[in-house]
Amino acid sequence: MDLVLSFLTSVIRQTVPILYVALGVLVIQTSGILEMASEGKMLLSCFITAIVAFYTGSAWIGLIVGTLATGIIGVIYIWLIQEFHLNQIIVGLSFNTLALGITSLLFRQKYAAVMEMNPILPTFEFRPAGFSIPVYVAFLMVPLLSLFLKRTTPGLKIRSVGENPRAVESIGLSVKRVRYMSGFLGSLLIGIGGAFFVLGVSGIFAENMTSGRGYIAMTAVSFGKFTPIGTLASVVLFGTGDALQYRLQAAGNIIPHQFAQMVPYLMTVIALVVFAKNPNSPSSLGKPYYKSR
Amino acid sequence: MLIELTGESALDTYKVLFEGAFIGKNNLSETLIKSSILLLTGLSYAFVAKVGLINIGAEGQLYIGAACSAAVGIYGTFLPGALHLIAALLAGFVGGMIWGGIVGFFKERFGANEIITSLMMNYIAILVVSYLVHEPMKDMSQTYPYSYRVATSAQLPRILTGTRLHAGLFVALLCLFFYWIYYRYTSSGYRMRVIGQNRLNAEYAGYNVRKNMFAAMAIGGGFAGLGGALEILGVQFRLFDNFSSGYGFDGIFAAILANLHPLGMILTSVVFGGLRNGGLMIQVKTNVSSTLTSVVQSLVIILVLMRIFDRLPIWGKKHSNQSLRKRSSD
Repeated sequence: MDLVLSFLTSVIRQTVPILYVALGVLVIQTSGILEMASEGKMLLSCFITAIVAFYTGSAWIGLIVGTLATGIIGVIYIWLIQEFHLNQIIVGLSFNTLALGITSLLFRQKYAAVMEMNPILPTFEFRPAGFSIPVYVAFLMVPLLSLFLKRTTPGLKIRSVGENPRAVESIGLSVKRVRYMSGFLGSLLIGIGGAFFVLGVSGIFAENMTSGRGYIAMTAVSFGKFTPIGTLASVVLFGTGDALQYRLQAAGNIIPHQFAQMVPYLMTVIALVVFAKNPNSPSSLGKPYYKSR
Repeated sequence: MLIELTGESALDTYKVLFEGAFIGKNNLSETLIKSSILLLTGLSYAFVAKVGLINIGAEGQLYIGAACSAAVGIYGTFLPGALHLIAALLAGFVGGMIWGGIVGFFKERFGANEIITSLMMNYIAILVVSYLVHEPMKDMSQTYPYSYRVATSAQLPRILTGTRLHAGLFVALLCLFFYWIYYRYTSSGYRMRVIGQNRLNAEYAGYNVRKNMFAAMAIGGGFAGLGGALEILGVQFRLFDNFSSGYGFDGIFAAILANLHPLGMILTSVVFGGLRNGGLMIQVKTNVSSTLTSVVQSLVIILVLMRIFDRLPIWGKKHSNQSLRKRSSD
C-alpha cells in the first residue's frame, strides 16, 4: 500500500511541472503560434528561479520572479516571431540552444562554485495534505483554463485568432495584440512550470535539467487534442512514465538505468505514432501572419 | 557583453577565440576536423529539408552511426586492410540511416510529426550509446565507461603529418558533392525538390510522395551517421558518453544559415567548426567556459533569421520585402 501511495505521489510530482508547461503551450498554440521554445523558456525559468530563491532564501519570491521573467521573455519571443515573420520551428530551436548556452555559461561562470557549498534550494514549506500549493493550483488551472478559453471574451479572441486571423482582423481586432496576450499568459504558465520543477521536484539546479520536458509538454498538447482536459490526461500519462522511470532506476539492476530513462521519450514517440492524425489543431498554427493592406 | 559579465576582457577572449580557430597549422586542422562533421550533420538536415521535411534528429543519428562504426571498427578485425575501414564507415552510414529511417517510416506510415519524433530519437540514441559503453562494449581495463579502441586498420588515415587532420574531410566533401549533383542534375533529386516545394503538385504529377520522404529521411540520417563514424574513426577511436556535444544541432544551424546551398554550407561549417575549436581554446586559456560559443552561435542565427543583415546597405537589395513575403506565405 505504501509503495502504491509513494508511487502516486511521485506521479503527481512529476506531472505538475509538465502540466503547467503544457497548459502554457496550449494557450500559445491556440492563438496559432507554434510554440517550439517551451523547452528554453522552462530552462530559463528554472535558472532564474533557482538564483533568486538561492539568494533570497524564499521559494515564493523565486517562483514569482521566475514566472514574471519568463512572461516577459515570452513577449519578446512573440515580438521576434511577429515582427520578423521568422520560421517558428527554427527560431524556436535556436532559442532553446541560446537558453541552454546562457544558463550553462552563467551557471558555470558565476554560480556553480557558490551553490555547490549549499546546493539544496528552499522549497515550499506550507504543505496541506502533503502537497505544496502550486500542485493544487496546477490541477485547478485545468477547469479554469477550459472556462477561460471557452466562455470568456479574451479566450474566444485567442481561439478565433488561431483559427482564422483574417476574420478577426476584419472585425477590427488586432491579431498581434491577441497573440502578445496569449504569449504572455502562456509563458507565465511555462514559467511556473519551470519554477516548480526546480524548487518542488529536483531541489537543485543542473545544466540542461529540463532535458526535453518542454518538448514532451508540447507533444502532450497535440496528443490531448488541444483541450485543457485532454492535455491533463496526456500529461498524467507522461508523468506516470516519468515516475516509472525513477522507480525503475531506484529498483537497481533489473534493467539498465539508461533504458529506464528512455521511457518518457519512447512514450512520446509512441503517442505521436498512434495518435498522429490530429484534425483538432488550430488552422493557422505556425503560419506567419501578414497584416492585409 | 556576456563575457564582461563573467569578469574577463571581451576583446582578449575573442582574440583567443579567433587564434584558436584559424591561426596555425594545428588549430586550422582541428577546425577542419570539426567542420567536416558539421558539414555532414548539416547535410542530413539539408537533404531532408529539400523534400519539405524537418529533420532535427542529426544528433541521434550521429550517435547511432558512431556506435555502429565503432562496433565494426572494434570487432570486425577479420576484414582485410582497407576493407575494414570501408566497412566501418558504411556501418556508420547504415546506422544513421536506420535511425533516420525510423522517423521517416513513422512519418510515411502514420503521419507522425517528424520534428518531435526526430527530436525524441536524439534522447533515445544518446541513452542507447550510454548503455553500450557502460555494459556490452565497455573496456574493462578502463575506469571510465569507454568502449574498446577501434582497430588500427579501421582508423582513418592522417593526411597532414603532425596534426590529427584525417581523410574524413574528403568523405564529407564527397557527400557534399553528391548532395549537389543529386539535387541539381538527377531526375530523382528533381522529383524530391518538387515534392518539397509543392506537395499537391507532386501528387498530381504522380510522384510517390511518401516513399520519397522516407528515402530522404533515411539518406539524411545516413549522412549524420557518417559524421559520427568520422568522429570515432578519425579522432576519438573510442565510444563514450556524450562524445558529440551538439554536433547535430550545430550542423543544422550551419545548413540553415547557408540556406542549404552547398558552397555556403562549406563556409558556415568552417566558421562553426572554428567557433567550436576556438571555444575550447578559450576554456583552456581564459576562465570563460566554452558554452560561450553556443551563445554566440545561437545569437548569430537569430539575428540572421531576423534578416538584420538584409537591412545593411551592402546586402539590402538582394531580398526585397516583397519577395520575402512571397516566400514565407507559400
